[in-house]
Amino acid sequence: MIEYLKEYGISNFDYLYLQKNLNPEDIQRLMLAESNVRENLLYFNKLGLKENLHKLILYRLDLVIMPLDQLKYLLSKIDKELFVQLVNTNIKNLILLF
Amino acid sequence: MDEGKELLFKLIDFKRKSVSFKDQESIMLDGINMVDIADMLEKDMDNLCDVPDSMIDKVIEEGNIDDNNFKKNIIQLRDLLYGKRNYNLFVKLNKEYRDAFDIFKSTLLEIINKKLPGAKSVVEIDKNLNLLQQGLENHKLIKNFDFIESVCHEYDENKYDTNMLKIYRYINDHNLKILNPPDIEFEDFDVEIVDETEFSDKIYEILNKFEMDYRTLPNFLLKDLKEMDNNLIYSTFEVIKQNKAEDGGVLHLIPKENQVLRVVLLLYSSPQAVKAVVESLTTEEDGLDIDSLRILLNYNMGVFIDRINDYFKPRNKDYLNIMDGLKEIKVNYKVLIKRNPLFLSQNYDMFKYIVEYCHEFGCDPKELVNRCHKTLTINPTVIVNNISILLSHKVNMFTYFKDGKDDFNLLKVEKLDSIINQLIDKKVIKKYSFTNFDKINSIILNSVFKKARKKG
Repeated sequence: MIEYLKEYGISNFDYLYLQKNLNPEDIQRLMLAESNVRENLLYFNKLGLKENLHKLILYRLDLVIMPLDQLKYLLSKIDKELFVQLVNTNIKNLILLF
Repeated sequence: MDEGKELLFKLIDFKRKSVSFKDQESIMLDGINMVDIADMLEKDMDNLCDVPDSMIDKVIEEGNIDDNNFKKNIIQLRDLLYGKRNYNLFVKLNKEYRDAFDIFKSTLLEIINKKLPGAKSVVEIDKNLNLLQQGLENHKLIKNFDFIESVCHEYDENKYDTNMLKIYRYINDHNLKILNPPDIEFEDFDVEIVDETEFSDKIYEILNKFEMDYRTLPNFLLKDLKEMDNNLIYSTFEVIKQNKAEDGGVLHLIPKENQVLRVVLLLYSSPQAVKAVVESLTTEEDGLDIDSLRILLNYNMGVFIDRINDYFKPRNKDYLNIMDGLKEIKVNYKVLIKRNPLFLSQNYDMFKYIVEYCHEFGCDPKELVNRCHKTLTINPTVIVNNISILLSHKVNMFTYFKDGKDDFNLLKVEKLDSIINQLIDKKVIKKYSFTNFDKINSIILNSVFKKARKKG
């Protein structure tokens, strides 16, 4: 149901990991909001986020399921490079920035 | 043998030869590794209930602890924690017990370091090597990537990249085979194949209105379209197909290409649920807020679902309760829906509990929602945990919430306890008497961001 995630840089291994670790309600959310999630993932890809995109889905689903214009607006206020680095290295404390 | 696998075995041999494990016996007691116990205690005080008498005696003897009450306190504490774990006893610990625990933990670490300096790292390496070997030999998942990377670096720095590439290729295949075993072949058995999906006339009428090719729908939706009570489905259809959103006609707010979403609304929302959501977004002054309605439909369909089903969690009641709560505390819910639509479909009981719990310490619920809405959505329990941690450090929560300069970041951060302990150890803040939340916040922010930049 959420296999489309693989189109945005999520490896088979990370996809299986997501399936096992996401709660079922979040999987449903990702399925129902597919078209919006696709837009946001593409945007994250453009920012340079690919390998650790699964972390964002697992720990910060709120950023993956939100209107793209809002996401862009909120990201415009912060250092995007730092955002990407925090996702890669310390996703759980990303909340302090964003 | 696969090149990557061979390399992993070579790394194991290399590391085993470079570290001496023989002294490990000096930190064993009755077959228990003292480092394991120290780690367990570091993670959670409750693990003290697994510590045997012999270990307590050893710590007292070798740590030269003279205090006569110490043994009594630590054994009583262990037994209380045993009751907490096994009989759900409510345990409130006084200062004496906490102090005894701190002394026990630090003395144990001192003994370990005296017997075998660097023991923690030796034990850690041993564990990692065993884990890797078991993974390779017993067909188990290999997950200790950081360890493998560091050994590979030591093994041959010049060929690090090519070696890691071979290793990762192998691990990827190895783990995928375990996670995704080949399909089991079943013996032949009679299967009834349904050639064509047939619906009632009412359902065909709806499908025509949707202008959809139902064959593209997932099977579970087709099954419910066929088997659910047609009258129920039709009752929802009659409401959502209307032209005016104010009357519940919300179908046109979902793009035509998003057929799954449309069918989910049709099947699992009742007319009452749809109208209740519309009403919740309507005010006398401004009428219906179409933007918010569109966002909820397309990003958080759960808030419309109230029919019990096998696939989607009904969140309509939670949503209506949360909206009532937000209106009561005068939160600007329109902005909240835009910025964080998932906020509206969290568990209402949990939300209510946290807001009331914080309010007990003088926290303004509106401030809490405005500053912590993301934490409340993704990991609400961290707020309660962090308040407990701050209380254990004797922080006056009334002052903390009144101060509010740190944007309540101390409530959102992970591993707050270890951060505070580190700051106390480094004498940046004083034990049991810190009120400089703003300073702590800036130290935490600096450290988090600095680490990120360094690693990045």
